[in-house]
Amino acid sequence: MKKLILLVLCISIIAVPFVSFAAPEFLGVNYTGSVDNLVDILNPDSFSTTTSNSVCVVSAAAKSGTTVAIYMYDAATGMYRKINTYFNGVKLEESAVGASGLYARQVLLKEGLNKILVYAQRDGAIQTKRLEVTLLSEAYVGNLRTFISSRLN
Amino acid sequence: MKNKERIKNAVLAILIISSICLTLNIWFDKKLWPDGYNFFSNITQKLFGQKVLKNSGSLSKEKLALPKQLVVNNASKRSIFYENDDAYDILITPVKKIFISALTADSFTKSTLDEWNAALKAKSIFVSYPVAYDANVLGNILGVQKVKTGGVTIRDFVISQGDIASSNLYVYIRNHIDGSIKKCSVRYDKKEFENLLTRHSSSTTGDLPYSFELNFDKINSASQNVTISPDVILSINRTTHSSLYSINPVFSRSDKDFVPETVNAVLKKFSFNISTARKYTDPDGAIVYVENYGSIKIHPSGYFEYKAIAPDKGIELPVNNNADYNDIFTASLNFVTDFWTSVVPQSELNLSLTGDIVNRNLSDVEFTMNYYINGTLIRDDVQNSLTGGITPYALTMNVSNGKITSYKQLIRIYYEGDTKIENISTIEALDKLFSSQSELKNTNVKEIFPAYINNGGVYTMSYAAKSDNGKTILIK
Repeated sequence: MKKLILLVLCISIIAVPFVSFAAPEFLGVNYTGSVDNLVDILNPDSFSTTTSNSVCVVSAAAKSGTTVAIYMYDAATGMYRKINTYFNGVKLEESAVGASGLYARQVLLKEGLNKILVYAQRDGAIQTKRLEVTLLSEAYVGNLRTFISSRLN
Repeated sequence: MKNKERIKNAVLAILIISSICLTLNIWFDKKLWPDGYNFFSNITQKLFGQKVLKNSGSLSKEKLALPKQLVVNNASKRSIFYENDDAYDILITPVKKIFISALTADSFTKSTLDEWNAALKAKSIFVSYPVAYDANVLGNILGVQKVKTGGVTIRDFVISQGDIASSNLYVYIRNHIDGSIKKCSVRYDKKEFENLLTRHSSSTTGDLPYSFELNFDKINSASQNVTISPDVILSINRTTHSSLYSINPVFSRSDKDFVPETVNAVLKKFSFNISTARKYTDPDGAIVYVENYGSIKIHPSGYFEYKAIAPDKGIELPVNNNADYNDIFTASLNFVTDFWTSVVPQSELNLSLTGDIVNRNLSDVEFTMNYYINGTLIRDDVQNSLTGGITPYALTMNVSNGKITSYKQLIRIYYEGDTKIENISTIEALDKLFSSQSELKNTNVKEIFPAYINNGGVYTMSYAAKSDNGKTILIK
């Protein structure tokens, strides 16, 4: 019995770091964190923005040691899916915000509305922040340019 | 009998001719006396005057004074080009033409940082020099007769397509000293400019964001420990670069000795007589040559130091007695170029200035330079074996009233290897910096850029960062 308890304890001690540090791959659409003081979103600087740039950089400031992850809403699953970063084809492990307090991640946008969730975790506390970025289609941007040029000429 | 006479005469003739040739070689090539009191040198100077370079060596001025980078901004697209890129060669000609027009524009208006940033986000070319130049010096380099910008010091400027309503381009010039910005209008084919931007912008702004686009230029959160100047371009992701190797042409590792041709070329350039200069070896393995007016110390690492015994005994630059700062600058760059082509003729000169070029008192002018490869700085710091001090510059040259009083250079040939090495992102670099130097927190990073660093003979990639106080820190 004692050996069994010891074994369970060892397994949980080994498992805890993997469970608590890595952000989950999926989050429910209504998922919300428990605190609101872990991370400040610097860019985009408002909840809802519109852009013609297909790559958006989400930047933030957080206390050193905070793990930050970016999620994109996936209509097919009805859940937020984590955006992973790859370098030379290899998936990079999440790293915590360092001594500078700065964080930045590229997010590839789809045409139309993109629902983004920023997830921050530190010492068991979790904060989430939602953003909406609308990517204008190239055709729309082209038409707008033509319209403005014709008005001025 | 007759044959004997003929042979005797022939031998005598050969001996006389060969002795004349050898004498001439000793006098004019090996130099029996240094230029300071060379009989023949004095005669030629009196008859023909001292050789003065006027606008010659413009190749060396242009080489050492090319913009460090050209950033092409085309709304959501952005690319950055350095000197060795093909696109740089295509872009530099119209950029130079437009900038010259701007320097001679009749009127300037005050502009703001917001306008500058808006231009960077829209359609423009952002040009950065490696150092700040007095506008008149820059004008002189570009062949401009009269610069009309006023007394500004320029390191960066932006050529903007401007608004749709205007048929002209706008050029924004920033004064490096106080950060003020002025704007002028320049006539140029807007369609051609737009084509340039379209053809030469391939990456997205998400790959190369400016600090202000991520709001890193202001403190917006209590958790933020640093700000980064607005137009610093950041690497969001890790990057790959070519590996780097170097050759030391001064000391042969296989022979475990100094390379005579290189050492002789160095001595000759500083008018040292190889046959008569006193020579000894330092405990650290450096050889020291001493002549009446100066000394040269050459280290096995390839680092050498020339020092004159007094400011008026230095190596004379070919300038007039009434030379101004421009003349001294030109002559100094010529000397660096000539030195390189004499000592390392097999390799291209890839040094770039690191100190601002502004008008200074001619009794004490210092130029510093570092090596670059494809726009990336190489920091091959030399450590003084006696004092332990680090020399962060590949070249340091001191000129006093037209004479070189001190010249220190690390002679190295750099070349790229076939393998690739990885560099961390800008934010990871800043994390490293503040982890090791927490007293730097809450400072502004004025510049941060990739650099090759010599780590015990192996070159790795990292960053160099400059703070507002001008101090450059290598992030290791």
